[in-house]
Amino acid sequence: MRRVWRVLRSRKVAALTIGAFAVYAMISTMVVSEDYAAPYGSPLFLALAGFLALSTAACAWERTLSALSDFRRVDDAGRQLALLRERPTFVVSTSLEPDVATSVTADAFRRLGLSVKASDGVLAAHGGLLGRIGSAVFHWSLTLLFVVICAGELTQSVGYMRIIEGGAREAVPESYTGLDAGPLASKAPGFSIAVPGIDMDYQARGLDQGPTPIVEVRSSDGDIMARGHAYPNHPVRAGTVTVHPNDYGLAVVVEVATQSGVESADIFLEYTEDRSAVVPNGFEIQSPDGSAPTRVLFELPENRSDDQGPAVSVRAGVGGLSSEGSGALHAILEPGETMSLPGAILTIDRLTRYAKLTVVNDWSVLPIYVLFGTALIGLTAALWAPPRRCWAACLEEDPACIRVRVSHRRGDPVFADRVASAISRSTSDKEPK
Amino acid sequence: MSATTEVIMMWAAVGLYAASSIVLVLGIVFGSDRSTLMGLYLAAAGVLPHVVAIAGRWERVGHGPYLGFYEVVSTYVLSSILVFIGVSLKYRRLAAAGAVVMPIAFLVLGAAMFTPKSVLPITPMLASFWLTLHVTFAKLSYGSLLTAFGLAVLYLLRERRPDSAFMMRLPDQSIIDDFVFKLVAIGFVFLGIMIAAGAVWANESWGRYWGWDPIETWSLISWLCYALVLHLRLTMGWRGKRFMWAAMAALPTVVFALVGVAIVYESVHGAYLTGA
Repeated sequence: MRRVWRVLRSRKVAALTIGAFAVYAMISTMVVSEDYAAPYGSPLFLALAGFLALSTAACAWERTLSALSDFRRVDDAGRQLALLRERPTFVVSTSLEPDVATSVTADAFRRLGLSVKASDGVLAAHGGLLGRIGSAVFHWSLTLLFVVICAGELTQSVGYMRIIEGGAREAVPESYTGLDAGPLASKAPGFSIAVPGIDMDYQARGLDQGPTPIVEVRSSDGDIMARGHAYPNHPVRAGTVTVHPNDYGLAVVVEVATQSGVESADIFLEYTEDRSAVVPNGFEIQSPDGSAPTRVLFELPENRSDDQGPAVSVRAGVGGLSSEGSGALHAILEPGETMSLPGAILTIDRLTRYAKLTVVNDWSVLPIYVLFGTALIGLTAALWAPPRRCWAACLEEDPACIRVRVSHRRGDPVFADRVASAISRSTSDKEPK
Repeated sequence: MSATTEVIMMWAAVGLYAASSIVLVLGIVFGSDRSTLMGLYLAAAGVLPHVVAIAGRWERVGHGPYLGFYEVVSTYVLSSILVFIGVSLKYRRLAAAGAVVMPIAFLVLGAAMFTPKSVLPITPMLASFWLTLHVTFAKLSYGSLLTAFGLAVLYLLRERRPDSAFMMRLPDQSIIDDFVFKLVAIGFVFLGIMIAAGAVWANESWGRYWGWDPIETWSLISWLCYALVLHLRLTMGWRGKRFMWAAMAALPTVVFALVGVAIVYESVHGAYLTGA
């Protein structure tokens, strides 16, 4: 166990792990050309990330102990006097009385942003309180970031929902397409998404946002938790649920009457990439006697866009449709019209639009932002406000001098000069002209 | 400002940066303080038409300089030169680092002048405060890290020729060493802010804060490389030559992340940069 701890807190091992992480990512971007995320689910990467998280945690622990010992450290005036006598960083000559020189030096330290304490004739000044805890805060934040990202991946769900104008869908796996849910994600998180309308020419922030769905997030009781237009950079949020717009298209609502009853279905027609036509879509009607099912395909009538007529072209064929698109049955139907199919009667209920939404249920996003922000604040404090210490005294045997020792955690080469010039300036201001 | 005036101003900046590069290199070769100072003035003179050209384009196209290679690269160059000038004002003798920074800046801007300058429209996806923050910190980090690179080269040159009269007039090596560290540190923090702002923007736009898109991955790689450089310095005591080599070795990852990835990979980010 002690050996494991030694490896985890090793600075060399930490450096190697950071390097290995970077090299793994470099190689991944070079060898993978399509699914860029695939290499980051591999056991090797997960092991590397896990080790880096543990190493960061060990580092955070070490830095916390170091910061605590810094806080607990009591300046031993006798020892500091001995060090000032034997190894001062610099000595400032002055004609001031020792007690005046000491007071002036204390003022100079304060002007440098240091807190000053006097004990047994020795001035002890220190600064960089934030810097002392900054490194620990940075490392703890990164450690927690690993944990939260990991927990978020296990519990989040992301998927597309197609919802017709005026319709609503419960957040259950069947409502999604392309659902990517973590193994611990709730199957029934208790909310639903509704699209009461779609604004075809919505303007916001001085820009035409294009067809924009109005989205409602509803609780399991039907209460509206959030409502608004969903457009790029403006998702609709309710707690851990975020709804982003993705696309829109045409929808055909149909009723199919068979021997077993009447069923309603929404057929979603996606636009082609240049949005000049729609991609045919449909469903199959199973035959009650077990023979080949009837394939029904919906598309827009030839040479018509969605604005040119409220009709839909329906083709149907037993056992499927030929690749040329010629079905055994073909009709152009308007809402309310019916079509007889083998073993079923199809009725067009209405033609409408639908919104394709990206629905994300992820509690971890906000904590991730907060932790990354905290990490950056800790890092900035550690780098830009490093601990600084100064000691000064006028010794009895050498009262015409102020002996000073300085220490800068980061080894700033000009810190001693800044302290020396601050003391010199203060003493010369007080000295008789 | 018309497109023609903008191009003329930009070429004026390229010309002044080229002149600055030549004078700064001559300053190093002949050990002339006057040449170095002249090079610094020429670089500062080039900033004026450069800023005017960028501001004029901003006003004309109605959005900041973050769409297409020409806009993006020219502002990276501007931020690098501004950081270099800032450092030189603090320590006038560090202006000699311009002999490294200015030729890179001049060549990169010169190359950008031959890329398409067509105006790419701002789309709803791009209309975000987070994008502005993301792009601003990308430029600031690039400027800091490129200047750190220039100073590191200067440090290593002096290690090789410590007795040259010109090199002896530079600030002490420990001060250059500290400056390189500070620039790397601030560049690292800026890179972090850039990544965070980009992640928030991606989440607002696409519903995911991280998708291992090549530019996202390379931003992380460059951040990790600089994390390693700082780790080597702060916990393993790398100073002087070793630290300079490490700081120099990390820069290509940032350059590739900011500019190269968009050329090599097909990605969402690449489309914004190349307009493809």
